[in-house]
Amino acid sequence: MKHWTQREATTGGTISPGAVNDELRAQQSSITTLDRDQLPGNYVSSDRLKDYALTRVYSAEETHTGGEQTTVVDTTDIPTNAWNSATFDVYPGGWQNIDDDAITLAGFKGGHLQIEWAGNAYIMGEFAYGKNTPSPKSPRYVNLRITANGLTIAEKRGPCYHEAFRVIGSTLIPQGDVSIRLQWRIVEASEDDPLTTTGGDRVPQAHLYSMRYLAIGRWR
Amino acid sequence: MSRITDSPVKDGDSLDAASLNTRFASYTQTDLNQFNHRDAAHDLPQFVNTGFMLTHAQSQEIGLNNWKHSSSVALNGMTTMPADASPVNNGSGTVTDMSFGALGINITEDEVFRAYWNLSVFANPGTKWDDASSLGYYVFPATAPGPTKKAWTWGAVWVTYLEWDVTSNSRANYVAVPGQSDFKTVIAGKYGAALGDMQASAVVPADLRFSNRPDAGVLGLSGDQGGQKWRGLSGAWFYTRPSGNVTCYGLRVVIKGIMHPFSNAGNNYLVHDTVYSDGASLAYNGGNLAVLKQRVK
Repeated sequence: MKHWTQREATTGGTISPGAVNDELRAQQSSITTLDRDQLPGNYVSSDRLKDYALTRVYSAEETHTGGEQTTVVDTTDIPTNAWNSATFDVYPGGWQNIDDDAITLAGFKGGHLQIEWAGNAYIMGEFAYGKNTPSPKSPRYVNLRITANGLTIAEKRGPCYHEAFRVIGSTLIPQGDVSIRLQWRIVEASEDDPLTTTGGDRVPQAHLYSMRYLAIGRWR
Repeated sequence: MSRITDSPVKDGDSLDAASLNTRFASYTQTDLNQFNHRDAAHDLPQFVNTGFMLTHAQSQEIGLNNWKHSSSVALNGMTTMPADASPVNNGSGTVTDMSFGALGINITEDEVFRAYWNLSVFANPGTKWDDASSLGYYVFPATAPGPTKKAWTWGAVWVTYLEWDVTSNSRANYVAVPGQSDFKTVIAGKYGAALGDMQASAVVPADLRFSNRPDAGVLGLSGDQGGQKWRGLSGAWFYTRPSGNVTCYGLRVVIKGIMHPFSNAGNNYLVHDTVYSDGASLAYNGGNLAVLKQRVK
């Protein structure tokens, strides 16, 4: 701890050249060594800090607009008691983005990222117990994952019913805008799956909706 | 922004008055700027210890907390439309809503309001899933004496969502939170909501049925597998004010069902299936409702 004062001026005290010079010198010297120790405690409030100096929260009540997946959506011959959604007629296999546009976390200063992705997911699991399906027979899942700048930071087996889900990812990310992708995947149809109804309608297999996210960046 | 770039003094350097003065002078009051002594210099002792990032946190139990399921709260399927949502209660008529006190909590433009809920549920599907007027089935080719058989769509759900009261601390005016429908919109003669209006909802399956050993796209005729047990559901809602502030006095979880997927004119909806709902019910026990309010910058 540095001392700010060499000779404290007091009322009625004697003034000498040394008193003035020593004090000035001490002040200058102290300035060169000003560090955290000299800063008062409990004085940094949200009012004193520049916006986003320590943290930044990114969130969307719906992602993307409407909160529904917009890729791999079949609109042909869909039954009215089902959604325009992914069928095996349009699903190409593999991981799919929920939307063509990525989520951009602008102004990320580098540090810790936590992201929560919530929503509801539908999966058609009716035919998982097929005669020719090898044992052990497994339910159908909507696999879910989050990528940040192209790297997977969270992956989950996902729902095997029509149910709510939440995926939470956490990682360290370097400075710069972060590109987030929310992705899903289903397994291919088995040879036992009826893929069209007797009326010729296609059977929807999966759909994600009412999706939202919350991301928190911490850099201090 | 300025940075001091003088080289450090090394062993063997000769220092005189001029070089010392230069070194001192390069670091003057003028250079004690934002970068050097604000953004880069704060440490934990300098931070105030209340209300800095997290401005409010609160949680409570909801429903009937009986984890052995020896008793539970029963909710019948909704068959008369338009139906009001059923608030989660303790089985004795007391709604287990969350109160934010006489003054409520103020959600400002610079904050995000996070709400999380969970509930233990058991769905009884009833027997009307394959009724001719129900939405709950598709028809597929089947083995003799076929030639067809109904199979469950896997779409039927109960939906839980959030309501809040932003009028007064009497908490008598609950409405669905922003971005969340009350499922009373009329769509082609049915009551429900567009999927885009379900920002604070979490669904749980109302039924569970597997076809028994379908073979090469053809269904068998009997012995379908399924049946639900007690299970959990979990929901989350993230809300930021587009502008201005709002004071919230209460928050609660409500339930509607049975709901089913429905499409009309190219749009997707979740609608009440009053036929499927007849004789169906949802039992629930306890859960939790938690909120966090935090600054976004």
